[in-house]
Amino acid sequence: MSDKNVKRGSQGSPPCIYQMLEIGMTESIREKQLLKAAELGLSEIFCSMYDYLSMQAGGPFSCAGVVIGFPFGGYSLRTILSHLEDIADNGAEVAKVTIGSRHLTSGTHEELKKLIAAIDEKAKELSLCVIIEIQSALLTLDQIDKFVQLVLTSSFIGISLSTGTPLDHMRIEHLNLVDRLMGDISGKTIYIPYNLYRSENVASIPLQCPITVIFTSEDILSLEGGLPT
Amino acid sequence: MNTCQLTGMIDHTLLTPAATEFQLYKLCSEAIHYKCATVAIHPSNIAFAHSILKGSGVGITCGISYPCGFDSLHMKLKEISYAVEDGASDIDMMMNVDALKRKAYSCLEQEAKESLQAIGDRVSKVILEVALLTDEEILTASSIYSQAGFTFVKSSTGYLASPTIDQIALMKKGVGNTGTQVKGAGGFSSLKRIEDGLAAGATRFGTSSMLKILKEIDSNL
Repeated sequence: MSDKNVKRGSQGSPPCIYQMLEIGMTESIREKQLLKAAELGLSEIFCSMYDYLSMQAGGPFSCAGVVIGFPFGGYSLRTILSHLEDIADNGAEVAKVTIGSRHLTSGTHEELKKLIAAIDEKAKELSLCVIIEIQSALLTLDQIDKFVQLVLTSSFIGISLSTGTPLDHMRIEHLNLVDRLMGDISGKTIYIPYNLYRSENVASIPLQCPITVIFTSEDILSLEGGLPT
Repeated sequence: MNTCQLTGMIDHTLLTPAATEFQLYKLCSEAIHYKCATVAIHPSNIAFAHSILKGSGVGITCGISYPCGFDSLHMKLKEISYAVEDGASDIDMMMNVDALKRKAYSCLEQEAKESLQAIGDRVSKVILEVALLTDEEILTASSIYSQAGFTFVKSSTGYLASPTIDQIALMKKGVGNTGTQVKGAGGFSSLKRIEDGLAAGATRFGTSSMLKILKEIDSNL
């Protein structure tokens, strides 16, 4: 399984990824945002299949992941599996899959276990790297704990704890919990939004897991100069 | 307006990502009790809702490519077929806003034609997300999808800004005499707003505030 498009944690600043997922962008706005991302040194992008195909035509960006189910995770399992096949057919190597929280909030963990196992199996069959995403802000710590336990033994390369939308404010205790549960042996990366990284000074917190910081368009447009170190 | 007149026009909505099965059950029970047009839920919840609503006369509205509309037509068609198999009666498909912005109208016409074939005899609604559109784009999109034969053009996903009443009226103008109706969604959380939407030409409303609006009606009696 290839992970060449996914940067792992490093000794210095964590890897950073631009998440470009606005609806109905005109070409000029899209170009402006990509230019700003390039100026900041963000060369990897989480994007839609449409933008992934556009990027294949050339340019300085590579795809860190094609998104599925963004931002609500409302897709049925069949739809998620079909999207994974579509992504693989089109040559992408990484998918970021947002899943819904119903089974966690309803306590139907066996159903969630089956869903995660089915996504994992399909990812292996297609040789796709998968980052699994939940909206941790909507969950209790106990629910997040249950989720991580189910994901630990999967082949997923990482867990994203926030979709980065304004409705979804993850908290530092979510990061601390997931880091403690995954430890330094899981080999999985934790993806967190830039607003949390900045507001909680995550750089100063000793973590066991590698992290990657996700920048939204709003983040990069507000940044002057380079990326924070 | 009385309660029955209102609820027959309502897609009783629960799109919270963390909605529990209890909340879904409650939504469906309320929809049966008040004879709503449909419940509006995520695709992952259709089968569960269908098990409760089967035979009740209340339909199930399912968002396709919701709320971003990023998916290819090929994938939208698959999503539609799965939703129909799971029990959806109404398909609310997010249109390809990027194609509209690029004036790639043939792309939209193809999307309309092929998605209608997949939707078959179910109720078809296309979401325009008017907050992102100019007046001209609202007219164009309403015209394209109504001429293709969609049952409804729908204003918004509720994910972004709410439509103005003027935008609802513009959609009504755009569909012309095709017979396509207008669904208002996004911010329809008061009786006054519903009445304004009706006056502008909408005949269906998506709202998660139905119980609150019913209380307003009761207090007006």
